[in-house]
Amino acid sequence: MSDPSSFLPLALARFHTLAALSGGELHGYAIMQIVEVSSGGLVKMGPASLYGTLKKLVDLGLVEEVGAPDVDADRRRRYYRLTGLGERVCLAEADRLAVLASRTRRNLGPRRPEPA
Amino acid sequence: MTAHIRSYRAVVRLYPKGFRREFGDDLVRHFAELVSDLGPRRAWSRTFLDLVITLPIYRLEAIMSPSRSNITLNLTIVVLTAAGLISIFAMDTSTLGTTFGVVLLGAAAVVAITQRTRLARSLRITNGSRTRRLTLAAISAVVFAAAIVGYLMAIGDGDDPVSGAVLVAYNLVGIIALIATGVFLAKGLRTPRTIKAAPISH
Repeated sequence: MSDPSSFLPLALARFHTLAALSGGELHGYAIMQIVEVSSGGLVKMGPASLYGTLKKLVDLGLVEEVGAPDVDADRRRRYYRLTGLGERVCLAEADRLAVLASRTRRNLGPRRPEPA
Repeated sequence: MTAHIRSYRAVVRLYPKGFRREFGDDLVRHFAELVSDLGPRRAWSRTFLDLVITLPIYRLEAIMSPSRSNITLNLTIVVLTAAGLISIFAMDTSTLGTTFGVVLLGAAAVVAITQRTRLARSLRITNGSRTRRLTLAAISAVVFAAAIVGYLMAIGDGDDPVSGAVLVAYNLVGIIALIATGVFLAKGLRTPRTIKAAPISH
């Protein structure tokens, strides 16, 4: 199953996790922090939700575990990054949402005057 | 290690073994960082909600995993069959008991057939396949025998007229059980006792 569209639509937590990893290799706690900031505080992942999501993404082949990225990194932590398929799926979902957002903006704005 | 982290480590033990083994240390480290960054109160409020949501889901997923679902389904079949037979033969209110029992036996048959279909799709034969199939054949044979006994008792009791629906139900259960017995017995006997090891390629 290597067709990115077969993974869509992605669950919110999965997409946020992939989007966080699109910036590079991260450990679990950093993913949680980035998701919280990038969602404006709306998505707050707890530890088990985060690692459960990561496990599913790894099982689906969208994310892979990697070694510590540099010598200063904490070796006890596990780091994750997007696979090639993960990148394509993340982009496909971003495009899908962009089209949806664009259509919604076109339909609703600029606001039409209320009928009398 | 603070009391909060010790408590969370204890709570992590509630998660399924596989998840705990893979991520237990990560979860505790993550929680420790939450306590350090947000303080214990906010760390717990976030983690408590996370626990309430994920614990039943991960538990259910572990139960329904392929390795566990066979055991769960076999147990379900046995319990439904036993409850159905008890309802038919032991409940005092005969019509209600019989109807309820037939429904339970029907449910057991549906679960068994569904399970067999799912297993039939799988090319992999596990060590316990032969035993499981022969066990199901035995259970089906017991159900078949019970259906015959029930049918004979129903038609033999001249003082208490039995409705046609009850007789049809006995027939239906008996036929399904007979077919199931034959299918499971044939499949069980055709399943090898041991699995041949796959050749090792160098």
